[in-house]
Amino acid sequence: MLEDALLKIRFNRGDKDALCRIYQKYKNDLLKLAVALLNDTGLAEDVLNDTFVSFTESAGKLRLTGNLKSFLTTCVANHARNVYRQRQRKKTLELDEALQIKANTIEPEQSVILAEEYPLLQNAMDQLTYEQRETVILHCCSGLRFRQIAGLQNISVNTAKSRYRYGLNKLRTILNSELENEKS
Amino acid sequence: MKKAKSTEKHIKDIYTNKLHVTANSSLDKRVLTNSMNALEKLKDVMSANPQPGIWSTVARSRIAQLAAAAVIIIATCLFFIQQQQTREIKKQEITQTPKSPAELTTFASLSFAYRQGGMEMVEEMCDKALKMAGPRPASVSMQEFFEEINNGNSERKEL
Repeated sequence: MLEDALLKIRFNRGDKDALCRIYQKYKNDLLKLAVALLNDTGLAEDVLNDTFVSFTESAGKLRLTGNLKSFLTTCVANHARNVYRQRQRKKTLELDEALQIKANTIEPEQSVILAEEYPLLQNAMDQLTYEQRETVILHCCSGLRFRQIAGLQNISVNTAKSRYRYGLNKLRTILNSELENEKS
Repeated sequence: MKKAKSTEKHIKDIYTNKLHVTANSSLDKRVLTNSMNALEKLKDVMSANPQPGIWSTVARSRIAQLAAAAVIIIATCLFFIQQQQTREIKKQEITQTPKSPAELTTFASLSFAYRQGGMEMVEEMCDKALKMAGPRPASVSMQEFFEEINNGNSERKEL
């Protein structure tokens, strides 16, 4: 926390080293979040790039209070939502292509586990509305509070909580039915 | 509830432990180059409009402003309290001025004088009492003098 506070002060003064340190510290978490939200590594990389460029442009205007990781997570979620909407409008990608994750971003020893569990989960996630998926991922994986998610989605805290609950219920139903199908 | 918790745990486990996504060097290079370019552009703008110092940032914060206001209020209160206390002490000194040589030489007033200024103050009080009592012949002893002023005091009380 103290390191983040110092990094923010240095970054606000235009320090390049501070920017590099922030990038090195949070790049993997943010990329993972973008991949989870968009289910596309290429787009996730674009989101990370856009997030850091816009973050850099905020140097000097950055608020000194608040958590840096939450701030960056919110930035990634906002950029990912914009990308998702653009993608929905264009509809250039097929669903099957969107489900694929490039092999260069997944470690070889993990790919076997992912081949069984990750596509199942992603398939279930794709059946949720984007808002529900975003709420579930941000709360479950990034550890954002409902208050923060509500602020991000411009909704009330109770709506964020109900989105999370409905999303989880739906996921459970889908995952259970998929498991039953596999067994039968 | 338990089912919801287990689903939550399952999702968390997959995303945090089983999904290993790492940014490769080409992505690092791309992001950092773009960010540095953006920072360079911004620095030109920032140099035209210099950033405020750390003290001005601190002074602008609400907590610092509240603390400063609290200090000013406390200092003003303390000043007024001190002023009032000095006034009360002066009043007490005025009211405590003895009216007769007998009152000046009582045990209470002498001990008060000793506490205020030591033996010098006691001597001063005795001098005052002598002056108030008026001139006396040199043959009068201290005991006779005290008896005389004490009798005078008791007569005044009887009256």
